[in-house]
Amino acid sequence: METTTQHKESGILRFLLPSGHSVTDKVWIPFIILFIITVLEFVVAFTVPKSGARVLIFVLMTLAKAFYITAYFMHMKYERMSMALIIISPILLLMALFVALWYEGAKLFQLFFGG
Amino acid sequence: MAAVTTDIQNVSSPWSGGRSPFGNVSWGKLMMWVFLLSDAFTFGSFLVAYGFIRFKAPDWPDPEVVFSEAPFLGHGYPLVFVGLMTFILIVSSVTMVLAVEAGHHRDRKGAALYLFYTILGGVAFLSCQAWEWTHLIMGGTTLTGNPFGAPQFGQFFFLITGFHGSHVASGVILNLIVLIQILRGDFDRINNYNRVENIGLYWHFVDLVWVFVFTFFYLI
Repeated sequence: METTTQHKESGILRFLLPSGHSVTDKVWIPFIILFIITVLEFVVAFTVPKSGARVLIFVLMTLAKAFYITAYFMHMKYERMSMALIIISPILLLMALFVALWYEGAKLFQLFFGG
Repeated sequence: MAAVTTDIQNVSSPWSGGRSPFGNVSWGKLMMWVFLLSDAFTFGSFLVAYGFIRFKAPDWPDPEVVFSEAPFLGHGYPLVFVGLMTFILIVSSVTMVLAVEAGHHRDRKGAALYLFYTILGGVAFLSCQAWEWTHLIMGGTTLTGNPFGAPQFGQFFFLITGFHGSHVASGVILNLIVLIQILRGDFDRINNYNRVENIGLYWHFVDLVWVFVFTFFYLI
């Protein structure tokens, strides 16, 4: 991850995944993206009717926000790959447990209350 | 045989031995990450339990009904107040990044100033949470029941936001300690601001957890 070669991205990628070391790249662009995603969350909360798809949209937006906080604010994008992997790989197991037990809860709901 | 051994020794994998696989990362930073990982599992298990109970409950309260009030505005403003809290925490994360940046440039005044803003953000967030808790408790939400629906709502809400709030509170205290050390010139004397970076990681983690709490308690 610690690349010394500075290659210039162009267009949308330059904005969505900045890789420079300037304050604009490491602070302001991620902040603007986090702000936009939060505003979009409110838009979805007030316009989209409650459904499974809505939950999925919220979860994806949350994961996107988590990515920007970890990668840029916590500097993970600029750390060694070996360190990033030992921190991030256990989190994947946690997410698997998450999905499994939420699904289990929904199944128990069907069992108890029908539907 | 000898040639093979040489080949293995020449493999330039981070894990090939003889040096730290994590490069020149400081021990404090590495240990902070390991601590944050364990903390992520604590919060994760709370949220897993919450999800399990929530999807099993037939009458889980609608967050847009429970959190429909804001100070000075009154009824009928769902999510406005929690939106403000989210914004405060994100902004305090930004000022923390700027403090770490200033530390990298050995800018003592800049680091102290931005860390001070971060502390202000933390205190503002805690005040908002105190208002919200008071409001909910006055409205009849307790650990054993609430007027909105499933009684477990109060237990999980107070457990998870309380655990998060205690993290914010300890973060504010740790930030204050580091601020005093910056002002005393401790980090100029040892010529590194690593501690600002480590405490910054903790602060961002608190923000990260709030992102999840916000989604799972207030939006879904």
